[in-house]
Amino acid sequence: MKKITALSALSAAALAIPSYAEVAPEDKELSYRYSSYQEEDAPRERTFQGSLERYQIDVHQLGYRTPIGDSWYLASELQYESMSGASPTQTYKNDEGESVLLMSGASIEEQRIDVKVAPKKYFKDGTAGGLLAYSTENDYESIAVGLDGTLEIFDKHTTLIGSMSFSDDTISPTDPDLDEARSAADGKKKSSFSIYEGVSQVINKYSVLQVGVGYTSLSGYLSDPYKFEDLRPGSREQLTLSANHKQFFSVLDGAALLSNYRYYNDDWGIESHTLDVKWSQQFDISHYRLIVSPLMRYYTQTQADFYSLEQSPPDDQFNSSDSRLSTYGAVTFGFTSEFKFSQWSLHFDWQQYYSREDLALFDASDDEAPALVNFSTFTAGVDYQF
Amino acid sequence: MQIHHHQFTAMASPCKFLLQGEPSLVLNACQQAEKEVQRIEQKFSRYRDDSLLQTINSNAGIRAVEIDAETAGLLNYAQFCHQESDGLFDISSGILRQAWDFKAKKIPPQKTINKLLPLISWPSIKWNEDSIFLPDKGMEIDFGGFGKEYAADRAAEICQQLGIKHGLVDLGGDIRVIGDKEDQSGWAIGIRNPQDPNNAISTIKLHQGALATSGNYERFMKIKDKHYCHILKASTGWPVNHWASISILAPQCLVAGSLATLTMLAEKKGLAWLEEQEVSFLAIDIHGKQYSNL
Repeated sequence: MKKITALSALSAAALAIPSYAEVAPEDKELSYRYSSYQEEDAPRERTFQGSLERYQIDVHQLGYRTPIGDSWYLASELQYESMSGASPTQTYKNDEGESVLLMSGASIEEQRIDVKVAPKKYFKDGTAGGLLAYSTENDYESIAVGLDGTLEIFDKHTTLIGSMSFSDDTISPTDPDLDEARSAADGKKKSSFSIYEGVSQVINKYSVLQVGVGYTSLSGYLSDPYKFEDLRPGSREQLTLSANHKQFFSVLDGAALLSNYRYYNDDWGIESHTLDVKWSQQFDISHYRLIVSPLMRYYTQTQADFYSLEQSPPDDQFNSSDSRLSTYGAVTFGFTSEFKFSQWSLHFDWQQYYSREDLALFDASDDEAPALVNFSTFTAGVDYQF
Repeated sequence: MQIHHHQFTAMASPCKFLLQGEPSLVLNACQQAEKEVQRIEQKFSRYRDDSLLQTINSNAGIRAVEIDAETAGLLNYAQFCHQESDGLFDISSGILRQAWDFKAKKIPPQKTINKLLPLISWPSIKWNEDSIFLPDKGMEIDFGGFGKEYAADRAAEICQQLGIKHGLVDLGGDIRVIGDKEDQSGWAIGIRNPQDPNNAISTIKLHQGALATSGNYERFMKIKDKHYCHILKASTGWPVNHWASISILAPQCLVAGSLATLTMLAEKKGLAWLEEQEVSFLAIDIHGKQYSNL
């Protein structure tokens, strides 16, 4: 038997010193993103009135993250959005059984500003963070506060994650005198409360699993004042169950497969399933690093109980023809990419989204929902660490 | 390929990184690795009021201080050193500095040393992975015995993580190789002559691992031809006086440094103990006689 020498005892003790003590990030980071979101035109053969040109949104996002003292980290973000285009106001079924789409007329031009501040405190076994967010546009104002925390247990192999947030919104539709629904909504409030509990478990050196449950309660004015015949309940309770799995592979210079499944259910009768798959591939080319991640998402939902294509439903009955409350399915294809060199990193992302009635997996119906939209987004950005 | 030299001062020593590679990669590694050395210095410095170590020491006899996993790992390491040296290596022995002033060139009275000895007691320190408590007021711990070596390992690991394949970290003579020179010729390292520390007594080519030296010439005083060095035995409070210098090659700088110090502390018995360790070494005794398996 080999005797235990001081060399082997000390070497073992030296290797046992954890090389990654949880410490707050020490770098400052400045980041900028430009995103363009472009919806496809509404179908001409089904649009009865209004403009075919749907939303085009440009987003500019400026972020700044900095350590404060030894254990605090502050992330802040300023976002400016400008939006133009028309939106669906109603869909109804005509006598031939075809769905007719009404679009808003004059093109809407709107701006929105978001400000977000999120301090985070790093402890020996976890973190505690806060969030303060304010958003304003000419017909909507929102203020949100949140708390979140993580706790690492069992030798940092298990992380408990929790968060909660509260938001308070005020609605003030443009031209309230134009329409009864808009004047009724003017000054109305909407609030939401969300809570999430999750646990992340390191399974082995190459794989991590996170499962979680989330609950959101919305109340107040939840109808859409810009749509006709849109009257929704004054509360909505949403439940989500989710599972994320991350598996690392030593393919080329390193890769990871990220899979995510989410189940959603609310008391409006909507049930949905989302499946995300993303392959992250790393390439090291001399002192540059490129990470390219192709991704795919499938989504399917069933309609809300009060979704209907009736042209003139009774006034006292909950009703909406919003296609986002219909039975449909959607697929997304795209990729994200990141190119890193010294303190810089460049980002370029692109995604294409298609939604259709017949992509629904459950409860598919023959009703057409011509307001279902296809869109593409692309993002270009840069981060600088110093 | 060209070798990039990055020099700075940390832990009261001249420090340098010698790195080969793409310039932007090398510059980034230098920056991050130096930051890591400074982080360790800041956290474990005896001299800085805001260091974790100061907080631990200033709460001696008062309360337990919360520590993180890295500190607990270093305490565990100190525990092994104490055990392996039969108590001669003790991270609470830094208090002897109050008696030994090498600049004043005066041997402290035995009475002064005797007053300090009860405060040197690693076994009486209560610690676990979450906290440490020094039971008596006036007690102190420090990582001076291996902090620089630990920092050299960490700096080298950071460089490796940032893609450096060829390079060397040298923190005041505590050396850790990141990876062999690109042409695989090895990094030439001089071992100081203890009689004449500005000159090398031997030069070795290091391809991997670490080299650390413990010498009696680093801080010392000579009184009536007798050499009193800064390496003090925790049991007696008096300097060791058998070896002039011990140099050790080991995979980690932290381990090389501790083996060197432990050999110095073991004095005459050190050689036999060292031979058991299956490491490469160069030992020079105070008469200049060399023992080596290099």
